[in-house]
Amino acid sequence: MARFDKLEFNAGNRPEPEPGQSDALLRDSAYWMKKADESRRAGHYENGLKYYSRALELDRSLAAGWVGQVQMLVELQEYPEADLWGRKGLELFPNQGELLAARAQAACRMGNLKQAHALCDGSLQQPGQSAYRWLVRGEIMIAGQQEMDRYCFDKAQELDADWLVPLEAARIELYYRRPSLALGRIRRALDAAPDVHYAWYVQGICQAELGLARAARESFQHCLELCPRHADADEQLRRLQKWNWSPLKWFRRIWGR
Amino acid sequence: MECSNCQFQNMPGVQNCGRCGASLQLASLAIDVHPPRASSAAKRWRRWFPTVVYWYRIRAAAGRALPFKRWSDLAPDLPAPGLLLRTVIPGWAQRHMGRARRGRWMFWCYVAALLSGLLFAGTALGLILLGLAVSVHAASILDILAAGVVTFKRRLAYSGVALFLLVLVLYYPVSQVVGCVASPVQFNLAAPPFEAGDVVLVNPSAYRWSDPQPGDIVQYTRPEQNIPMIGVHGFYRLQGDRIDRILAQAGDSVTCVAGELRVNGEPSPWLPLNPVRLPDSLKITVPGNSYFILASADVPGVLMWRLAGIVPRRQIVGRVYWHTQPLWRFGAIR
Repeated sequence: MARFDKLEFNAGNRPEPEPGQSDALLRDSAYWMKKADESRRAGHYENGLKYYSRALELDRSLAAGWVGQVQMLVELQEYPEADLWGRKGLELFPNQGELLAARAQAACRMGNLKQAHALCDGSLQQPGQSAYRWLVRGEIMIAGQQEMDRYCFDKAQELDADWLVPLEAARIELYYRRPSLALGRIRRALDAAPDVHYAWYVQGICQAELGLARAARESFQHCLELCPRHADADEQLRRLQKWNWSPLKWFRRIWGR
Repeated sequence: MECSNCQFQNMPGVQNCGRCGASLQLASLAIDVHPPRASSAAKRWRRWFPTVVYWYRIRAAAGRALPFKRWSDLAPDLPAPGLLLRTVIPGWAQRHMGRARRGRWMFWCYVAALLSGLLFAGTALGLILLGLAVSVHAASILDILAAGVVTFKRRLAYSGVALFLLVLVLYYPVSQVVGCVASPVQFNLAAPPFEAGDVVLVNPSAYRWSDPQPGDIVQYTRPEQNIPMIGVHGFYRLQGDRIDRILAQAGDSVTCVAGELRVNGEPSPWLPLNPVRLPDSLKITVPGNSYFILASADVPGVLMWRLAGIVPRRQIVGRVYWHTQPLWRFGAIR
């Protein structure tokens, strides 16, 4: 009976948990960090945030968990909260490069470019290198309307060959309404990982923004083939069914960046 | 002990990393690991009115417009407006930042100091307690504004500015508003039934839209006036603020025979605060726009009340309604 499972008759003869058995003891911070990363790669940022919090509940000294939380808050467009949480993280881990970069991203999204520059400079001065710092650098360049962003994104991709890097770069480009540049980035992600449904979804968004209705439809359909229960892709497809030509959309397609 | 932030090997027993300053006891610290979240309404509001973005744009424009670059460098790194607004209530911003314990401490210290300060308002102790409440509030703001400031001089300057702005923007206007309905007055000398040190609350705006009525206890100001004394060769100098009850209004005929006060021939339902000092004989008709008040509390009863008891309407400051000090006499004045 389950109520007697936790009685310790003889610690030495305790049976080993069987593989596949869902034991709470097996769910350590590494497990939740892995789950958070999986959610993030699938574009489920709310779940990602929840899993990062669970990982931190078990181990508060996980700097990556604090960074992940701030990144998820930024992705969920809760910028003041992300800035606040970044501050708190930096109190616990002073001058942590990734946290500085995450706070810089939140500051940049809030329009505080001066602070974003300072924080990003600080993050790049910290020992070690990471793709995320350069992604944030690129974002600040876009926000400041400086034409150096693509070098930063290329540098990020050089540092980390993971497909998540071009995907996040594409999302940044999309945020600043540059769908054509985002499309170039997302294609790189799809070259590296063609079986990732979220990348197809982001590509569909870029194409829809550019007015490429047929291509967008194909991307969303491909996304639904890989993940049949993707509600957002389904909704986008339904929206595309109602698509009709308009001069404004045509103009955006011609002049959109 | 290895630092989880910079992997530096520290001596056993130390609490913070010697290289980066990170806490080495994070695992045992009671920290909230769940970040604050924006409500859906707040998100919708931000989408339509990106106030945070406007705030930083205005700040950037102001920074560019400043005549000296140095000024903008000296300005603190202000947090987002949402957090800044939360500093109105001490501890709220700390709570929002996930420092619930610190926030709770600040809030309850502030409430305790403020309430006891209000209870002792009008006394030196009350002044100290209210000052303490303002200091706690300023400290809670400084905790947010100057979190990363390590230079002592700059921290001191921020403290001064925060305190000045807090008083100017919040406490001065609030005290002016509160002072319109409750202004504490302390008695320096005993004036029966009040003792020296007693504090009463006066409502200066009680008669802004209505006239005083017989029976009201009022504070009034007498200009310098020499009143002849009965049976004594000399004058009594009546000057300054007094507190007593209105006994009759304009047009009333007041008589006092053998210690019995009559208004318009009827026994008066009201007596002065110190009825022992009623004059032996008095007959007077209250002139227009004036009131009859026997300053019985602290003025000898041998005066020519015909002169001393008539108080013009303009000299009435406000209505006295509450006795706050000493605490055992706390209550309404009737």
